[in-house]
Amino acid sequence: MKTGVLRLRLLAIATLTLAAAAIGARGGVEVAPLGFSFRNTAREAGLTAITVFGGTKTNKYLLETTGSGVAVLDFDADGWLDVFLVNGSTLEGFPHGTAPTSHLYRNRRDGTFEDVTGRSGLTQSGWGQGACTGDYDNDGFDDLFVTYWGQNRLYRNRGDGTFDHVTGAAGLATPKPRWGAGCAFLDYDRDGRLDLFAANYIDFDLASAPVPESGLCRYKGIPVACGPPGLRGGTNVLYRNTGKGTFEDVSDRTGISRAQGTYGLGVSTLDFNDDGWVDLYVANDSNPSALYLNHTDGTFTDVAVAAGCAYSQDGKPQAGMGVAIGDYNRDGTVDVFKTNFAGDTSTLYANDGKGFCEDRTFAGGIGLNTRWLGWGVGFLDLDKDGWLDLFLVNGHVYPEVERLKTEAGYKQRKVVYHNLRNGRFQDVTESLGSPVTTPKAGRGAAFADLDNDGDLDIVVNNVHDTPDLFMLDSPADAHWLIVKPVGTRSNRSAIGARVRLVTATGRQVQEVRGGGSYYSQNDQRVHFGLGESTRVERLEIRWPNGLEEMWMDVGIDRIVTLKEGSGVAVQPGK
Amino acid sequence: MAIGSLLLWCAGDVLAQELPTQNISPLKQGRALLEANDLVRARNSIEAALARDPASAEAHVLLGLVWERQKDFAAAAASYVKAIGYAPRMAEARDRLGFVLGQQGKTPEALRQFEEAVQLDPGLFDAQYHLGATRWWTRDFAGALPALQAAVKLRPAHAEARYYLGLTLQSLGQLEPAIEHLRQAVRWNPRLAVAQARLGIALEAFGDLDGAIAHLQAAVRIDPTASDARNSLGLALSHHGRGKEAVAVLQQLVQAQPIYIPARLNLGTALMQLGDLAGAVTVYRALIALDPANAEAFYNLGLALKQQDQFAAAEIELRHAARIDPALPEAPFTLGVVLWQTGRADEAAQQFRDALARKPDYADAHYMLGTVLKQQGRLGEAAALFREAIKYRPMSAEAHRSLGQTLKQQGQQHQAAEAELAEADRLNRLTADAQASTFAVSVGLRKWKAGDHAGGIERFREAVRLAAENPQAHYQLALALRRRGARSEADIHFAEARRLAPHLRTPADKP
Repeated sequence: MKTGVLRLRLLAIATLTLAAAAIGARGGVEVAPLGFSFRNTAREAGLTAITVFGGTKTNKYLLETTGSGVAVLDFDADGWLDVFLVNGSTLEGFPHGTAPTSHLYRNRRDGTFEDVTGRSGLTQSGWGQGACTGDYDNDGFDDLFVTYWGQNRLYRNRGDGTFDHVTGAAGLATPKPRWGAGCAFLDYDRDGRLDLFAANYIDFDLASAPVPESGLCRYKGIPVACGPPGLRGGTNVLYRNTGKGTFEDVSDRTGISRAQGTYGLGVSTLDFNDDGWVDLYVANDSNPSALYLNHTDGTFTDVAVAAGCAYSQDGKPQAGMGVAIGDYNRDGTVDVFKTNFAGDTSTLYANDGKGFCEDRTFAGGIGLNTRWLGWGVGFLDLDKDGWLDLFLVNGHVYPEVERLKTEAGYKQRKVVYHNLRNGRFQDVTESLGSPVTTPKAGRGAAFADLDNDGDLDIVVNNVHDTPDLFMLDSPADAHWLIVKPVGTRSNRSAIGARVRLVTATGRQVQEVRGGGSYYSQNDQRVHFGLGESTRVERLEIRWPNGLEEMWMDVGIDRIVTLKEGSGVAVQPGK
Repeated sequence: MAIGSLLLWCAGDVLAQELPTQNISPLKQGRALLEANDLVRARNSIEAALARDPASAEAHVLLGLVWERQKDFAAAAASYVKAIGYAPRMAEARDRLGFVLGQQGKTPEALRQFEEAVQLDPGLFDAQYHLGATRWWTRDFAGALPALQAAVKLRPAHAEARYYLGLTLQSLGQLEPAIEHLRQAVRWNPRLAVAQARLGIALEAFGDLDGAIAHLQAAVRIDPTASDARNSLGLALSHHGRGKEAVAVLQQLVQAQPIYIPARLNLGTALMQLGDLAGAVTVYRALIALDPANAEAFYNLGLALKQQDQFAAAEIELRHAARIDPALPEAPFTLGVVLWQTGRADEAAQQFRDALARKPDYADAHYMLGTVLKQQGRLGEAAALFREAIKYRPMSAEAHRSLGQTLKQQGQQHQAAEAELAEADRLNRLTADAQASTFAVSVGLRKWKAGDHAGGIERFREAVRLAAENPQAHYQLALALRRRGARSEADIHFAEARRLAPHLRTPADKP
């Protein structure tokens, strides 16, 4: 009898599966003193509501796995960012009146938050997914859009601490349930009014979805929730703001519904080709991701495949989850970072400024981590040195992995990459210790300066757990500037504004963006780390409507609000 | 199973046909005593018969059988030669001579005797069986086939003959008839462990994993020391996704036979598939201690380390594997991936080239080298490598896509680029649709079991629509249609299911 031996073959970077390993085995890379650290103050700060999402030990459907997002917004316009945490549900449901709801926490400006969900009119239960904010009616107050499996909901901020649920009145009700995912406000046609983009993950129907008991869907031998491959993908949707308090679905005529991939999750706006017209990036699960390039004529084309921003470095579709945008190499173009499934690397696409993404995952030092399953992610300048670092929130999709012997668990630590200013990143997670090394089943994460101290803090929405509030303590001697652009002719939130800052050490570029991370909304003020620079020589804003203005000597170590039209106009492109 | 023991069983069967009696001639008495395994007295009686009639070919044959039983094959051969001398057309004597020659390692001579025997008496089962089995052992499968077919015709219930015929057909690539004969073998002798094991392996090759596991389990039950059967069972369980059972089976085997290398390799693999990479590393390290020249063990260890993100350690093991076995293409390939992933693209390219030198038709290596070169801007070389990858794996969507992108980047052959990208899309759709079809079958079954027959049929039809090559979709649709009375349409789908997966036979139509 012939003796059979199963030959193991490596088919791709993402292959078989991975297990927890000793970090020390990485080979003695020294980490220089970082100068920044985190404190998780969620409990003391009052962010204490548990996010419920599906089963705790096993999940029958993928619906139970995706978790929820976080939005930061200044709903009471007091200059301090508040926190909205989306909540989910379970297949079994809850007795009347006991279902978990999303929560709005008002920033008390002293490091604590007050749960104002009930009085704000945002008490809502269901399979909540993502959230994004923007002042769609240009009244000076941030409005809120929350996606659901079921019916997405638009909340108009009345300006008195309460919200009106206006989904139906705004024309956003859908005839059948959809699986809304990441979302973003944006002004794609530059008419000064915020439009709305929502990804749709799966065209999902409980009655027709296969279940783990079918034996068809296994992860390392364990039956798990099926999909998304094999399930019908959702179609992304773009709503145009009519300016009359309503939106119209323009997905088909704008080309949004003709993406190459499907299973959209994380969404962010960006101006990929720096033409002043806002584009969109969508991290797709198990499919090529999408880069919708705005043709400036009211239409988009998904150019991700042609531009090289769709696949892994070895040319395979990845399970994209979250997306971060930022100019990590300070070449003046915005780059893309995407979190993916366990057994795969995250992806770092450097924007070459000529319409193409250069995959710098391996060259950038990101190829060394394949054990974690990433969700929320942000580019942020942790040490305020003017170079964007990365913060990744992780956690496995399947709670069933807890049954595996050495698999990285359901709860996973974060990953923090420090920008080495040479195109490479260094994983500094271990040297940061707790709380970033504390395993959690993280999902959405929003990056924002919640205490207005000049660095970005992080709110993480965890599954079956309370949220994390990572307050960043950055080097006190490093300078900073936060800019809050306010549109007057452009959309008031200034989403799509590009902010350039010049100091003696060089230039930095930031954008005001809709969406971001995984299912979340980041701070729409832009943050610059200035390091040792004590003077901002020049600050320029290209407003969403195309106007370019300049300010001199705006100061440092402060938050400046700059209104459209208040600067010195400069000729576009100069 | 050794050839000799099987053949002896056969001889035993022949002898068992005659019963010992009292008050008979020395020759008959000798035969009875031989049957009773009273070899000393048997020999005395037969020699007494020979003293009376030295030219009795029958007596010489019987004496030869006594020597055979006493493992004195030279003496046995001498007796059979004498028998042939007195009765040159005595097929039985030639068959036995062939057998003892075979036992002495004189296979060509044995074959000649079997061939002679068959020529003299095509109806002699033993001769046909021995000829067929010996030809199988000498890998003359085409020659074995007619002899074994004749043997099976002569004695349809002979399990060993069925077994060898099954093996022969499998070796000739005729899997389905092979399975049929192996099934007959275990039907006539359910305790024939090798047949159970072989049937299990054949069923696995046929796509019937459940059947494979059942027969391999039977083989192991019958013969707990059957290492290969246990190893095959571990593999089948692993393929079935029953990783924990696979690990248990292979762990038992490793404990029982610590130096059985394949079991250790497969145990490591099974642990890796369960995500127990630390466990796999332990297994591979133990194997390396036992067999320091085992390149596969070093390779697997490197892979397990890589998958724990221990790149430096993985690199060491993979380099070792590549050095030990210059014919192992996977070692430099995976080393190339490790190097690339850690930002050493030039070194990675060199390793992919090494993999291609070892295996020029290695599609993955062509593809990965092409990808590295594409990212280095060496578009012409990259395009050529992607074309090679496609040549060896035409269904590789990523190779088509990468070629299309490269051609686009080169700014030439616009139509060719679009064609490649379109082909990549088509292949991706095929994969997605195949998965969706599998899900649709599953949901259809759920609906059917819940009594929603129309809903079930609708899903089965959707499954067929999504992937016309999905045999289960046709099969389940056929079953459902037949139960709903749509027999002619059901027959069409049964036929299609069987064409796509021959093990999906139309079940008996129960009222």
